[in-house]
Amino acid sequence: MPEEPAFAVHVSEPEPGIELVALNGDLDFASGGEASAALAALNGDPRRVVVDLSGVGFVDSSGVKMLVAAARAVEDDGGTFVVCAASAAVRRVIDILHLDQVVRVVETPAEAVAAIRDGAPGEVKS
Amino acid sequence: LTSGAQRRRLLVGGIVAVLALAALAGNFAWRQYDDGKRHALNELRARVVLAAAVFDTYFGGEISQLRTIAETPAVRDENTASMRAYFRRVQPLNGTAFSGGLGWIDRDGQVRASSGPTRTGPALNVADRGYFRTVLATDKPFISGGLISRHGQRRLIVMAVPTHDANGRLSGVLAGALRLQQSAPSKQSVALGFQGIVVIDRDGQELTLTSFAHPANTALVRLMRKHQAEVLSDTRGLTGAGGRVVAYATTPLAGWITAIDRSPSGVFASARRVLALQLASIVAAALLILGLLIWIFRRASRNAVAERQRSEIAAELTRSLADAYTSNDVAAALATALSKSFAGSAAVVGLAEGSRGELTLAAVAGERPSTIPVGDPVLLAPAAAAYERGTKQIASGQAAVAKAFPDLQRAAARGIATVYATPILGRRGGRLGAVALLLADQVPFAATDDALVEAHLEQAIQALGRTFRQERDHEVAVELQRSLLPTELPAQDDVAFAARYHAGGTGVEVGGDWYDAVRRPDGVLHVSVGDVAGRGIAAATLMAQLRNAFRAYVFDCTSPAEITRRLRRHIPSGGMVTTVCLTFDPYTRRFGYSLAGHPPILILDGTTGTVSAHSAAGSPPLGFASAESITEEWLTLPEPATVVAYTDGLVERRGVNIDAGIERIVAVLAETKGSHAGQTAEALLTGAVAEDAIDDDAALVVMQAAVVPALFDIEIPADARVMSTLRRRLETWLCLRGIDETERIDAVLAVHEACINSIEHGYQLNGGTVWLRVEHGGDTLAIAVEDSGTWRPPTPDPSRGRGTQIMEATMQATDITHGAAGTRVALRQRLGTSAGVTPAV
Repeated sequence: MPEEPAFAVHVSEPEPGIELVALNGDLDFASGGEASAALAALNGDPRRVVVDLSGVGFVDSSGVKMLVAAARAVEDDGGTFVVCAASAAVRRVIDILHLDQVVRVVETPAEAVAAIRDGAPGEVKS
Repeated sequence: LTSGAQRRRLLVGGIVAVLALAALAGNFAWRQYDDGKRHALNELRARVVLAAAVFDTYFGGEISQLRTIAETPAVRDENTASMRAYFRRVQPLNGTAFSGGLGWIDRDGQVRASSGPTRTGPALNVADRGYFRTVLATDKPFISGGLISRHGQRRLIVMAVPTHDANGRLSGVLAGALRLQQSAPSKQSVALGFQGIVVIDRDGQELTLTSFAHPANTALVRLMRKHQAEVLSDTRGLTGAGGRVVAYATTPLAGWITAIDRSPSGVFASARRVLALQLASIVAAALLILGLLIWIFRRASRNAVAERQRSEIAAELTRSLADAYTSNDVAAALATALSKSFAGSAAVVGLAEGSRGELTLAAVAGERPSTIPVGDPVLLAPAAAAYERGTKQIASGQAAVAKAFPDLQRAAARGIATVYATPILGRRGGRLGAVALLLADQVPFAATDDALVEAHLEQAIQALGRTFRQERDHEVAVELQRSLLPTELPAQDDVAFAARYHAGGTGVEVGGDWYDAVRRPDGVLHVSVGDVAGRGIAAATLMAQLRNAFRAYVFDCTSPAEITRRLRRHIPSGGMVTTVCLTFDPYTRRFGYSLAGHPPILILDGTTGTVSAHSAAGSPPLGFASAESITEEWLTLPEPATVVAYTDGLVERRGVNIDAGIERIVAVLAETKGSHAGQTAEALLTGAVAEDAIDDDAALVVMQAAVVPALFDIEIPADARVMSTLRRRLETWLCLRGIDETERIDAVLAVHEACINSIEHGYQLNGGTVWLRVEHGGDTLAIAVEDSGTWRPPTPDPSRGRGTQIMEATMQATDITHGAAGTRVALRQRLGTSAGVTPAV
C-alpha cells in the first residue's frame, strides 16, 4: 500500500499562444484548489488553454466545478478552453455532470491543440 | 585398605606367609618324628639289653646257688641219701627255684640223687647231654640250650656246675633245671616294652617257642652272634619278613641272644602318633588362619565395595543436584540416590505444592513394586503419612504394611514387606515433602541407614531451597512478562490472529520478547514482533516502551519501514533490538513488511500449501541500522494465506544453524494447511520444542487472512486528503470482489461524493470521523456513509448539489437522512444492470 504520487501540474506551450496544462493525479476536493491556482496564474489575453486530464484517474464533482469555473473565467475574457480526457472514470463524471455541454471536451491533447488552432475562439463552444 | 588391588596383594601375602609357616612347622614336626623314631629304636635297644642283663643276672644267681649247693657236705661226700633229702628241701615238688628239678650226676653220667620223686628201675643216664660233657670237660658252670626231658617230655633249660670231693677232685655235675612253660605275654611285659621278645639259644633254637624251632632267617641269627647288641631298622625279621625292626643283645653267661622283632608301626607308633597330631594341628591352624584371612578380606572387600558405591551415589547426587533446574529434577535425583543406596528398593519422593502445600508425587525410582504404574497416587501413601504426621513411618513385614497402607499392599502384586518413610523438613522446620522406600523383602533399618537417608535428604533440602526460590521467582517473572504482552489480538474482517509466548528456561528475569497487533479504524492491520537483547528490568522496560510506541505510530503511518525507523529512535545507545513490522490491508490484501535483524517472515499459501520465507526487506538490528538501511517490501497475499512472524528463540539452538531451525518450522507450517490460527501457533511451538527444549524466550504471531471480506467497514478522519487512498482501497476491494469496472467506477464515485459531503457539509471542514460501510451481498452493493456533524446545506444550489447528482446518477437508490446525530447516506446499487439514468444539468 505504497503512498500514491502527489497531485502535479505541468504547463507547456506546444504552439505559440496555446498553453497546455497537464494535470497529474486525482482532481478532487483535496487537489482542486491547487489545480485552479495553477490555471488562474496563466498569462495571455485572450488565452487559449488546453487542460490535459490524461494523467488524471479520478475527477469528482468539485473537480468538475473547478474546471467549469476555470473555463468560464477564460471564456469570459474571450479566450478558448478545451479539456481532453481519456480515462473511463473521468469520462463517467463528465457524462453525469454534462461537462461537455459547458466545455469543449476532446480525447487527446493533439486533438485539443488542433481544435484551438483551427477554430475561431467563439466556435469552439459546441 | 584403599584399593582392591592392594587388598588382593595383602591377601596373597598372608596366604604365602601362612603356608611358609605351616611348611616350617611341618619340617620341625618331621625332624621331631625322626628324633622320635631314633629314640624309639634306642629304647628298643635298651630294652633288649636290659632283658639280656636280666637273664644273665638270673642265671648268675641260679649258678651261684648251685655252687653253694655243690659245696655242701652232702654233695662233697657224695652221700646220695642226704643229697636227695637236701635237694628236696631246696627244691620241693613244684618249687620255683629249679622248677625242672635238681639233681647230682656222677662222672659216669648216672643221676645219683634228685629232688624229683623216687624212681624205680635203672638210674637215668645223661652222659650224652651236652651240658654234662661241657661241665666235665671245662670244670666250669654251663647253661644249656633248650632241652626236652627224657621222661615226661618237658621243655627244660639246664644249669650245671661241677662238684668236687673233699680232696678237690671233680666228682660229678650238679644240675638244676628250669621248666619252660608256655604263657601269654603278660600285660606288664608289654607295658615295659618287651612285646615281641625272642630268646635264641646257642644252637639257634627259639626258647620261647614250643617247638624249639630255628628262626627262618639264619643269616640274621648269624649276624646277631657276631655283635653284642644292635638295633636294625627296616630289615628282614626272624621269620624272614621284610620291613621289620630288630633289636638284639647277647647274654655272655648263657650264650643266648635276646631279640625283639617288631613291625615299625609298633615301634614308631608313638612317634607317628605325635607326628600325626602335630601335622593335624599345623594344618588345622593354617586352615584356621587362612579362613580368617579370607573372611577378613571378603569383609573388607564387601565394605570397600559398599563404601565405594555409597560415595559414588553421593557424588552422583551432588552432580545431579547441581544440574537440577526444577524441584522435580531435585526429586528425581533424590529418588535415584535413595533407590540405589538400598538395593531392591523403590524410592518415592513427594513434594509440597501450591499454597495449601498438598503433597504431590514428584519422582519414583528403583524397582517399583510390580503392577503399580508410575503415576499411581497409591505409591505416595507412605510418604503422605510421613508428611502429614511429620515423623518417620516404618512398617516391617507384609502384615504390618497391609495394616498401615492397605491400598498400597493390595496394588503391589509381589507384596511389600518393608516401608520406610520420612518427611523432608526444611531448614526452618517447614515440611517440604516426604520420601518413602518400598522393599519387597523384609529389611531391618539400622541407625547407619537412617544416617544415610538423612545425608541424602540434607543435600536435597539445600537444592530444594534453591529450586523452590527459582520457581517462585520464575513464575513471577513469567507473570510479569505476560502482563507486558497483549491479552487479546484483533479478530475481524476474516483475519484471525494467534500468538504464543514461551518463557525460556527457568530464568528468573523477564525476557525482552514481544508481539502485538493493532487494527486501525480504517481497517489496516499492523503487527509487530521483536526481541530486546538482554533480560531483566531494562530489557522489559524498553520492550514495553517499543510496544507502546508501535501502537502510537501505526495510527498515522502505514509504511512498515517508517514505523521501524521511528521505533529505531527509542533504542538507547548500546542497545540492540530486532523487530519485524507488518502492515496488512485485508480489503486489498496488500501486505508490507520490514525486518530489522530479524528472522524471515513465513507465508503459507493456503491453496497450494507452499511456504515462502521473506527477508528481502531486511536491515541490521535496531541499534546498528541506519535509517536509510531500513526498507520495506510489498506483496499481495494469496487467498487464503497464513503469515508467521517470530523471534529467533523459536528457531535458534545452541550448536545448530539457524537455517536448520527455520527449515524445521517451515516444514511444520507446511503441514498446517487448513488449521486455524491457534492450532498453527501451537503446532509451531510444539514443533520447535520437539527436537530439544527451547532455552531462549520465544514470541510468535500467526496471522491468518482467509478471504477478502464481503464487508468493507472502516472509519476515516473527515479530511479530504485521505480520500485518494480510500478510493484506491475501495477500488481494489471491489475488484477483488469480482465487480466489473463500470460498476466499480460508479461505486467509488458515489462513496467519494458521500464522504466529501460529510467532510465539507457535515463537518464544515473542521474535521471529525466518517463511518463507511460497503456491503457486497449477492448482486447488491449496500453503501452507508455516516457522520456526526451538523449539516449545512450547500450554497448556492441548495436543493441539489453536484455530489448528490453524482450519487443519484450512479446508484439505483439514494437516501440521505439528516438528523440531530449527523447525516446518514444510504446508497444501493443492483449489480449486473446498466448504469443509472443520466440526468440533465
